[in-house]
Amino acid sequence: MKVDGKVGRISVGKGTDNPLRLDPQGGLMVAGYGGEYAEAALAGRLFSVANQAAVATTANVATTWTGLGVGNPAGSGKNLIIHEFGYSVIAVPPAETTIGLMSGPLGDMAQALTAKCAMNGAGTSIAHCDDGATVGTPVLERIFATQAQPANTAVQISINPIIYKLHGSLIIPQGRAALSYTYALSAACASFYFLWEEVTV
Amino acid sequence: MQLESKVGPADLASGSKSQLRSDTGGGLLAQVYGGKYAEATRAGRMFCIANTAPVTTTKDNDTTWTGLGIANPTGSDKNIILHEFGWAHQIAGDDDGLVGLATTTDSGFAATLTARSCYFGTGTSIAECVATATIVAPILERVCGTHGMGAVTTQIAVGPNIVDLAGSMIIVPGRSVVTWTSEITTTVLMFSFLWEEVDA
Repeated sequence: MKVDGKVGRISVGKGTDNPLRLDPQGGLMVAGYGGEYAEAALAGRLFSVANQAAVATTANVATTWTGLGVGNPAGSGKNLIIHEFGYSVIAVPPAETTIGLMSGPLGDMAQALTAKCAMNGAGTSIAHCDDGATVGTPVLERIFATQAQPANTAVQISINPIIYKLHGSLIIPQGRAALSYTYALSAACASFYFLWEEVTV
Repeated sequence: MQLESKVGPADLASGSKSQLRSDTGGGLLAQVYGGKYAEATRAGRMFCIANTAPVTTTKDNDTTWTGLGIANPTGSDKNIILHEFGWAHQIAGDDDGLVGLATTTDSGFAATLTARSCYFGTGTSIAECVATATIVAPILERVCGTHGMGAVTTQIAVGPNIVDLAGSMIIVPGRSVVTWTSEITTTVLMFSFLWEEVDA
């Protein structure tokens, strides 16, 4: 079956039928609409979690880790598709450090923090969200920001969102976890958040 | 056969059939959903690598190069599609200059760093990842930012330093991409790459 479209802009009213529109090279003209995560949110598959207060972070790939993590317990029957990871400073940091994202075995991560369904009441997460656990040795996977240590208030008045949009480029299978990473030890000065989707394996 | 679309929103039940929808300019309305890399990740085609500690970087087109690089070995029968490049200061810089991406051949590369599948346990990368190598003089292709030498007291946080290459650089067999700084930096910076591997 051959499907044809028509080249050139048209102007039509609501309720009219019209041919599909093509550009002069034959490409189908498509207008995006809606949020890319709206369908998953409406279906109750989209979840987030955030530190509720500034959290201390361990240095590098420590197995006695603290920060923010999202774990997928063995036998969950789900994959966790990570869409976003965000970071924000709450108080003057005591140390400078790179900020990144690592993954590793789940270890003893528990549901210490409650995952929030993006559509309130529409779904229940299987994730183990925790701000500290003994995990299997993680591996650093992504680098994306720096935390510094200004000594006074004569610095930036505000900072743009420090959000790493992974767009699903990290999938956490059963028995694994995505974990916040700081190269250097840091006392409680920052909070993290994750946004993810849970799909059947 | 000419397919037609209809202007205006519909109100459809699950399982129902409907005409495609267009805007008043005739453009087909499409709802993009899910993460744009989720399909490739689930299929085991997406990989990443990061320096595990701050790395010293060499200057300009130095062939005794250090930083972070990935090569597509000759004969791999794969293409490497670069999607993202990330970088960050770990400490205050010791010089100021340009951060970029350069390309060269795969000469001098080996699999000394292990590429990670973005879906653990699914897929094995053909890429050779290194933090140091003797390479053929690279050519700077992309300018990705500035590494400064401001004191750590001048900014409270910086980022995200993610360059969204979105597949705009493809490394064919026998070629590589390497980090590039215009000045020497001494264990200041850390880098990461995100890429997809597809049959050549």
